[in-house]
Amino acid sequence: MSAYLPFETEFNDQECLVRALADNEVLKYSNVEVHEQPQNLVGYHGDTRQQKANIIVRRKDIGGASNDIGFLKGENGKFTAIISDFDKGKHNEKYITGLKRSYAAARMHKEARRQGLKLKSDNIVNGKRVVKYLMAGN
Amino acid sequence: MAKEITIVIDENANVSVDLEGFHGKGCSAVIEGFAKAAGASTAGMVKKREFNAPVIAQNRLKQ
Repeated sequence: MSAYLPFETEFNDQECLVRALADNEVLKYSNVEVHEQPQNLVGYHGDTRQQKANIIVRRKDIGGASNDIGFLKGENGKFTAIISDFDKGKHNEKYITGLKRSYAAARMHKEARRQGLKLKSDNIVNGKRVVKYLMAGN
Repeated sequence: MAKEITIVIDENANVSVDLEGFHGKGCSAVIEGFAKAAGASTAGMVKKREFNAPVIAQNRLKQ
């Protein structure tokens, strides 16, 4: 049985985290469960694990002999990633950095919507994501 | 001049925001919103020279 190794992230916006999971260029998970009350994760044998999460990617959507991965919302509003030692091979530093990039883009897009800005372009330039908005009325 | 906001997210997920065509308080309101969303502070923000340019001068240039 592979142990879960939780670590706190800076993610504190559930909507943006779900979007980031679907948009991460490293691995995309569009089929994600969101629960008000944390639910148990399931291991690769189909065994119910004691770890719980509010946002869950089920093992069938990860593939192979994976365990569920999840994100548990803390009292401070930040989500703790719960990823097993086994699944760290696939959900490694590169994956987490990709998730941070996607989360940042989702968070900025949400703020742009709040300010009533219009999306002009969204491109990757020399490895950097460059998003341009226009202020409405121009 | 069109008011344009450019967001750059680098390889390490660092976010920078650049504004074009904004002046004075309009600039601050926009950038503070993005800084808050990014969980950053605007304390170290360097304002472009045009930030302090009086709007009246800009209007004169258009005539």
